[in-house]
Amino acid sequence: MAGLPRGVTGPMSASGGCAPVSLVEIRTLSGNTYFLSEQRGIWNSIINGTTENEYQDWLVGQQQFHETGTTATDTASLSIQNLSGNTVERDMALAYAKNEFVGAFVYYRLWRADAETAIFTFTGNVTDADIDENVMDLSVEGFGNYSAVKVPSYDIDVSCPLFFGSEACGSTSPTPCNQSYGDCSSIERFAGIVVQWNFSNSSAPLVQIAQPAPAVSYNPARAF
Amino acid sequence: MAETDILNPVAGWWDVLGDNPNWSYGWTRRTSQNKQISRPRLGRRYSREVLNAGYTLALNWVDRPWATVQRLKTFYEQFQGGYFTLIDRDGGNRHHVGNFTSEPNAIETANGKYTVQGLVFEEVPQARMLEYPNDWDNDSHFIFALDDYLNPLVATQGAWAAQLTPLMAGSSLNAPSSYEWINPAPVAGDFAQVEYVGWGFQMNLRVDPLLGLCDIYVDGVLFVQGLDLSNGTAPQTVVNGVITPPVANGFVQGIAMPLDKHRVKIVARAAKGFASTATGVIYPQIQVMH
Repeated sequence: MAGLPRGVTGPMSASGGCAPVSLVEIRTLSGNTYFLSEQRGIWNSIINGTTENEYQDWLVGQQQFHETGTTATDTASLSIQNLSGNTVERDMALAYAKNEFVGAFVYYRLWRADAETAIFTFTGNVTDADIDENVMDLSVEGFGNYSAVKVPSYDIDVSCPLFFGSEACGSTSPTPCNQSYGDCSSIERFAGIVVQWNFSNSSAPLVQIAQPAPAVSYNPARAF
Repeated sequence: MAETDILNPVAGWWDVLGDNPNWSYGWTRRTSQNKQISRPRLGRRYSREVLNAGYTLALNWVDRPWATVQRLKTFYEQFQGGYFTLIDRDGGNRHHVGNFTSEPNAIETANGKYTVQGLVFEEVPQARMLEYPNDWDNDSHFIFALDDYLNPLVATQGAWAAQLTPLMAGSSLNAPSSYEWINPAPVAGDFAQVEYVGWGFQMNLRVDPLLGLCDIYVDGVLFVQGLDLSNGTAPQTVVNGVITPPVANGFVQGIAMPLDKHRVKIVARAAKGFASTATGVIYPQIQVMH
């Protein structure tokens, strides 16, 4: 909470005054953005970058946030009313039918309307949408969700992670390699990456460098 | 049509109904509790406005004809999801907009006489009104710069400071003053903003040559444009078809505002007005309708 100016924190310590409101932006995969709050109002949007967006007063109950402070995933749950609408269709049910909510991007702000400052923010993705005739509950997982990172469990590098001559390597060469693509004698099983990016200028890399070609070549038509 | 549907359009006998549509004595008018209040064991009370509910009336119609019961039932069904107007004839003719939240259950007490007891009418927020509350002497309260424990009640951005009777405080209808927020040399866009739950508001702004130009926003929408605090005037403002009359003597008033959580924002322009020698802005106080 450090860094908020006194013009914002001052009224928090006073007795009286109004409570902050929640501002929730939900960007679905199909590109629709929903603006939700406990009070109808015109506020800016972080996701769309627009200044005047009407936030509907559809949030109900207590919005919950669990911040772990570790690599364990932060979670949140949001409740949205599903009663308004016309005589046939309810607003949220209609939105749910038209959009894929699972995976939607959520940007939450606890908004002090008088100071026009967010005193708490939460960003994440919807992992579950549970809707019934009264309410839609969204389960949200925060960014920094390490369990959702899908990568192989070995180093991704220009160097091959395999042990020379192992079953995974498969090389029968008498000469050990230096783990590079250039002197690999079992290139059909080379487990490093064969191109890399030039980070030498300490900025976003634009130059791709190929590793030197190996001395042996791989003929996929030949049994080995 | 919502606010133009009046349950009791006349104060006395109404031939159309064959009865007086006003309710009988013995009714209750309950003020809403919008605040969350908490008190530490050895501390003082802390409070925060968390809701925007209005008045709740528990009404009785005693020994009335069947037509009155039918009218109550119609209003109950018609405005389940909407609102209508009810006029408190004995309470200064104050208008209330809302709906019945309990059923008009009638008891037949004699031949052709019916009694409806404890019919609950609840005011609703964000509803237009035919006549907005305007008894400033009796139905309003002040939100000052600081609370009674000297904590700020106003959020600010920029170099604002709370001063006890500011040096450059010129004339105001409320002079002499208590603490007021002052920004003697603002950057354009510096603001002081207050939130409250209620209806309209009015402000008596300071008028002084050391003060400059400012704008006033209500609920994020431009309300008064180019208010010159050196002479307390502003031309008529028209935003989205809503007309704010010209301002004189630094007196700003917004009456046509429904019950809700409102916010009023003074934004410094960092520019001099007609008779300014500096560009300061002062947030003195706000008087809000409850």
